[in-house]
Amino acid sequence: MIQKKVCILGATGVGKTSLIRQFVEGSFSEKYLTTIGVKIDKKQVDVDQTSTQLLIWDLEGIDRYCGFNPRYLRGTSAFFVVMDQTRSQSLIEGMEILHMARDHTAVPAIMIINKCDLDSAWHWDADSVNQRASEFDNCFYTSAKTGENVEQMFTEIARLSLG
Amino acid sequence: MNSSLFQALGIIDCAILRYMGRKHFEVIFTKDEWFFDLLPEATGNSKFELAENSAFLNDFLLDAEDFWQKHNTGQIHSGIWTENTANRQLHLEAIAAYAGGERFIVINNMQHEYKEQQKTLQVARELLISNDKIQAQHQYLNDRLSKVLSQNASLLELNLPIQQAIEHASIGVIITDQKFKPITFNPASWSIFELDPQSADTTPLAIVTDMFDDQFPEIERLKAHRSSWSGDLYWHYPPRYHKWLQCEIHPVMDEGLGLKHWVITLADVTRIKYLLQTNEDLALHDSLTGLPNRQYFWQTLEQSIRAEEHFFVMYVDIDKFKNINELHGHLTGDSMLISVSKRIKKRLQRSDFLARIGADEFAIVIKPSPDIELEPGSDILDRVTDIAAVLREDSRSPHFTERDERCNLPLRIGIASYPADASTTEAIMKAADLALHAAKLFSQDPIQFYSSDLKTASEARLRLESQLREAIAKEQLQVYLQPIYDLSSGRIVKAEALLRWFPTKDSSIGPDVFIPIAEQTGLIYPLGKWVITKVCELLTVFKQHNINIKLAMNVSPRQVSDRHLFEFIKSTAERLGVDAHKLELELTEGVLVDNYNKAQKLLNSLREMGVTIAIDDFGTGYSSLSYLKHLPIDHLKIDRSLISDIDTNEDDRAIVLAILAMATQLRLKVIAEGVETMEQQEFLKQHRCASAQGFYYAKPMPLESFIAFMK
Ligand SMILES: Nc1nc2c(ncn2[C@@H]2O[C@H](COP(=O)(O)OP(=O)(O)OP(=O)(O)O)[C@@H](O)[C@H]2O)c(=O)[nH]1
Ligand SMILES: [Mg+2]
Repeated sequence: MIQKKVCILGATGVGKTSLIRQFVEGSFSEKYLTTIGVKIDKKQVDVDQTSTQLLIWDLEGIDRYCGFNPRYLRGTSAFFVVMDQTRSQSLIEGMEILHMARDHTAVPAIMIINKCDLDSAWHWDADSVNQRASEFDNCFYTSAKTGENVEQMFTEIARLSLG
Repeated sequence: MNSSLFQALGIIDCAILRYMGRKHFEVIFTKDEWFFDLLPEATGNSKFELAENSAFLNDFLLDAEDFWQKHNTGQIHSGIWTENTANRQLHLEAIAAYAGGERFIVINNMQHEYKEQQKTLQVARELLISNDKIQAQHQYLNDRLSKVLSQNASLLELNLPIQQAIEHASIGVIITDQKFKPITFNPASWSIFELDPQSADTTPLAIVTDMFDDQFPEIERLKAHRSSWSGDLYWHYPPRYHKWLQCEIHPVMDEGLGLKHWVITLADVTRIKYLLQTNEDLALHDSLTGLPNRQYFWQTLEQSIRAEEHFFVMYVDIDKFKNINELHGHLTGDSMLISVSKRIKKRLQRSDFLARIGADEFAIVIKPSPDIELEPGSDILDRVTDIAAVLREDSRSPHFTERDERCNLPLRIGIASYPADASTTEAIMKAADLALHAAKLFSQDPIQFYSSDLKTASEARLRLESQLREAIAKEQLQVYLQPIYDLSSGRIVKAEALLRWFPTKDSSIGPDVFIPIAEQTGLIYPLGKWVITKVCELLTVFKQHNINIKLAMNVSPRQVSDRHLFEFIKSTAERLGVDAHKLELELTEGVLVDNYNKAQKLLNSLREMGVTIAIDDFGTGYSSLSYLKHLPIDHLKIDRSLISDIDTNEDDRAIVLAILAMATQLRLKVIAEGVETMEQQEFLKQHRCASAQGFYYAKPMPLESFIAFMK
């Protein structure tokens, strides 16, 4: 079976770990436990009759306590940048993270706007989101809580990682 | 090697593997079962081949091999990772090392470190996120309100959505008039202070004002200068209530830049502070730079004053830091702040106290200390002066971002001393703040010591500023006209529009005084628009009197950076039916060099429209002349300072000749300013200078005189 490494990037607390957990275990927890370092999860995804084993690298949120470490991107076939729609700062930071990642890799990137079960930050303006989405290969509105679009985002990254 | 030896040596919980090549390892030491959970393939034999049980370790092996190939000493670390094995969850870190000619992988069990790090970061990140959210709310409300309030004639006309947003906001919102008299309180602003609007004998604004007076003495200057502020205030209402409030205060201007309102927003951040207090280090330190925070700084000041020590306070501000965030993003902005703080720290001694007291503001307390040997004959004041100079000098070399982009972060510094300048904590900060403000105003003197003269000057300036504001609003300034002569024909071909201000019948204030103030306060925008309109009107008057000449006007740097400048010129000219070919814009060299891209765009649009461009004050500053070739420029105006000594000063004469020669080459026409004598005129004429203006021909004069003069 083909193995593909994918990374999940984003600012702190946007729901990276929760999305993976929802995808891999089908569960969700309200309690926030910040990730330290790296954790890799595996799950098989079928795209057009091809079974792919995704190695999903959950990375520590990038913020002032933890800088961006490009080493983890090595060998990745595609990556997510997750943003939290209740926190507009996470959009700005997500874009910075995309640009930093782009200095090191040209593989496909997917924009994830998470927590869409919650009210969006009232000042999140759709135009600026769309404009930024155009810098990515695809974009999903997801909820790690309800599971909305979670399956889809991982199927899509598997598809993109197959090239 | 024998494992009991490792144990006897107290070596930590780890596994040591010798690398034999091609994924083959020999187990040198392992202490605990966890290792076999991680790599079951190693069970039972000391030599094994790495299987696919740990994706992370396999990945790290690639880094390790790379490292071993390039180095033969030292080590690299993988960083912490988490691994779920059949029996347990492990937190590990791998190290690749080269020792004694052999290659090793060490795997450390980091259970304990992980827990510690997790605990601290959990608190820190929850704080960061809550803070982010509150910050965003403040910002959203303020942005929306400023926009709506600056346009609407009255608060009653606030549109419904924003009104509802305010009503339902979880943060307190207070709107006042320009004199700080309350107009609106939203429900949250009452409930934050546990007040019932029906029965309260005070108002949220009264409480906020009291807190400001005690805790943020800079408020007065802030109000006077219409600047914004954000920070934390402590509200204590014994015995029941005490809260930490994050407060923002912003002025709202109307389009003419008159002050209309103040907007104050308040959020209860007690919980955040409480979380902080569970971790004392976080409570007194700034999480970004690790430096003491404002609260800690304040305590230190108070202690020093109580101990009646002599000391200096240096208030340090990064020039235009906001641009960095806008240009490079907040993460980069943050790392630049760290870089700046490190640079400052390097220049200080242990006894000096450095704190971060605002977004881009630092403060340093400097005391005489027995540990520091001063040069013979010098004292603490010399040391302070030296430090300030060194910090400023250091700050002139650029910082570099992670992506290797240059960031210029020059510092400005205000300094006050205790007890010479003030006797209380509040007063000393006010003094340092005033000095810093002066350092920001006077671009040539980025370091300022507090003095009573400075205070007087600052007050005078404030008065002038408000006078100017009023004069602009009431259109009390005047446009004078000075003719410009063609030297070969002796005819008037053009006039320059010059601003004049007569506050009273027999006093006048020069543009060299009021233009910089207008620039610094942003009053230049309404003033500039007024001048453009006036100049176009004058051209229509010229037409009525059959005066067929061009009219030149000055444009300041800040106007050039206004995106709407071109649009405004164009629409005004069209509205008044002015032929664009009759307009000329004068810009200084500095604008073109500092703001090249914007200037280029503007000049190209103007050229297309038919407006001509002259470079003012030419020859006084910049050596970078390359822009002359690339920009659509028509005239150079030689600065008066070069002309005035042309008869006596050889250097000046040489410069003027060089300018004339260069202009010929570049096909630019030269206008000499400040011509006062016949000798000067003859010299210029002889060297083919195209035109001239100055007292020798005529002083600037009001419109009526000018018309008479032309006839
Ligand atoms: N309502 C809702 N909450 C979510 C969603 N996704 C995550 N959360 C919550 O957001 C918080 C942070 O989620 P995490 O998955 O730990 O975030 P993270 O990006 O992994 O955070 P770091 O590891 O610290 O960078 C948790 O309290 C989650 O319960 C979502 O889609 N909807
Ligand atoms: Mg996480």
